[in-house]
Amino acid sequence: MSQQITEQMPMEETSVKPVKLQQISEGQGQGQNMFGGNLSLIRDVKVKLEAVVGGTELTVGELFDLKNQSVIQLNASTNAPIDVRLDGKVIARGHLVVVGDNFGICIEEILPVNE
Amino acid sequence: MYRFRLYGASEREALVKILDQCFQNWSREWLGGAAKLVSSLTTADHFRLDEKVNWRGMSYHGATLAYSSSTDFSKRLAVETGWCDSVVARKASLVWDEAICDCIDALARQILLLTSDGSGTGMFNVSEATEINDNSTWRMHGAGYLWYGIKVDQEWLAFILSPQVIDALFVPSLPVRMGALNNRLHAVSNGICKLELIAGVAEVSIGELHTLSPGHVIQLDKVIGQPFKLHTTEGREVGNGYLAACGNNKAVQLAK
Repeated sequence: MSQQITEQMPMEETSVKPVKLQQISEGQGQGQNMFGGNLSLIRDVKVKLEAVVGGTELTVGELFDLKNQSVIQLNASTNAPIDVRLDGKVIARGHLVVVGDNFGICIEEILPVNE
Repeated sequence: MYRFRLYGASEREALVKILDQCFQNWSREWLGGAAKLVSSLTTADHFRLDEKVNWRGMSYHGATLAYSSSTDFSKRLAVETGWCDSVVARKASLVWDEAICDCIDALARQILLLTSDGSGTGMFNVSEATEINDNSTWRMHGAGYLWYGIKVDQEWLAFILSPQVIDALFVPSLPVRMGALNNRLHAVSNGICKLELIAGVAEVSIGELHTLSPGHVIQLDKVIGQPFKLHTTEGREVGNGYLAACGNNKAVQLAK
C-alpha cells in the first residue's frame, strides 16, 4: 500500500524551516473565564471513589503481633454509615449493599462541599 | 498480591516448577504419574460437578485442574470454591483423561506466555480479579482460593489453588535491610499506625458524580466473598480480611 501511495504522490521540492516560538510573558489573561462552571466539558472525566468501612489505630507492636484470623475492632459501630471518599475527602455516606455479584454503596447522604 | 516465579526453559519444566512450589515433592509424582494413570483409567473415573457444566478435572493436595465445556463460567466462582473443597476431600485419587492431560500442556504454555519475559524467569503479579486478556484470568476466591482460567476454543480450563497452596507458593519479598534498627524494633513498637478498611472502589464520571443523590447505588469493584483491603491511612495495603461485627462495632478478621 505504501508503495502505491509513493507512486501516486511523486516527491516535490519543499522548503523545510525550523519553527520559531513567539516570546510571551506570563499573565492572568483578560475578560471572563472561558470555561468557568461549564461542567459539560469534564462530565466524562473519570474519578475514583473509595468506600471506607472504618478505621482504627494500632501500635506498631500490635500491628506486628497480628496473625491470620486476628480480629481488629474498628472505630465504627455496626450501624455507622460507610464513607465515600473522593481524593481523600468524604463526599457522601451510605450503607453497604449487594449489587449483583458485587458489593455496592447505597447513598444516604451527600455531604456539603465544605465538610 | 501473590507472586509466582517461573523457572526453566521448557513449558513442562516450568509447570513442574510451579507445582513443585505447590506440592513440594508431590508435583513430580502428579505430573509424572499422570500419563501412566491415564491409560489405566476408564471414563467412570472422571467425575462431574453437575450435568450442565460438565466439569471434569482433578484435585491433588489443594490444587485442582479442571475443565468445563460451559461458557457460563463467570457465575460459578462460589460453586467452584465449594467444589474444590469437596473434591479435595472426596476425589483426591481421581486423575484426568487425555484431554485434560493436553490441558496441562495448554495451561503451562499459557502461563509461560503470560508470565515469561522471554528468558523463562518471568515474574507475574496476581492481584484481585486481574484481567490478563480476553481469554484468561487470575482471580481470588472469596474463601482465599486462587483461580486461573484460560479459554481454549470453547472450553474453559481452570487451575484452582487452595489457600494452603497459595501460602506455599507465596514468595515473600526480601526482608528490608534496616541496619541498626533491625534489632531495635522495640524502639518504635509504641508508634501509632492508623488503619482503614476499604470496602472497594468505584470509578465514576464527573457527570455521574454530579447527579449523585440519596438512594443512588454505586457498584464497587469488590466481588461478594472477596476480603476487604486493610490500608494504612498513607495508602499502603497491609493486609485484607473479612468484615464482621465485634460487639457493637464493625471489625475485620484478617485473612492475609
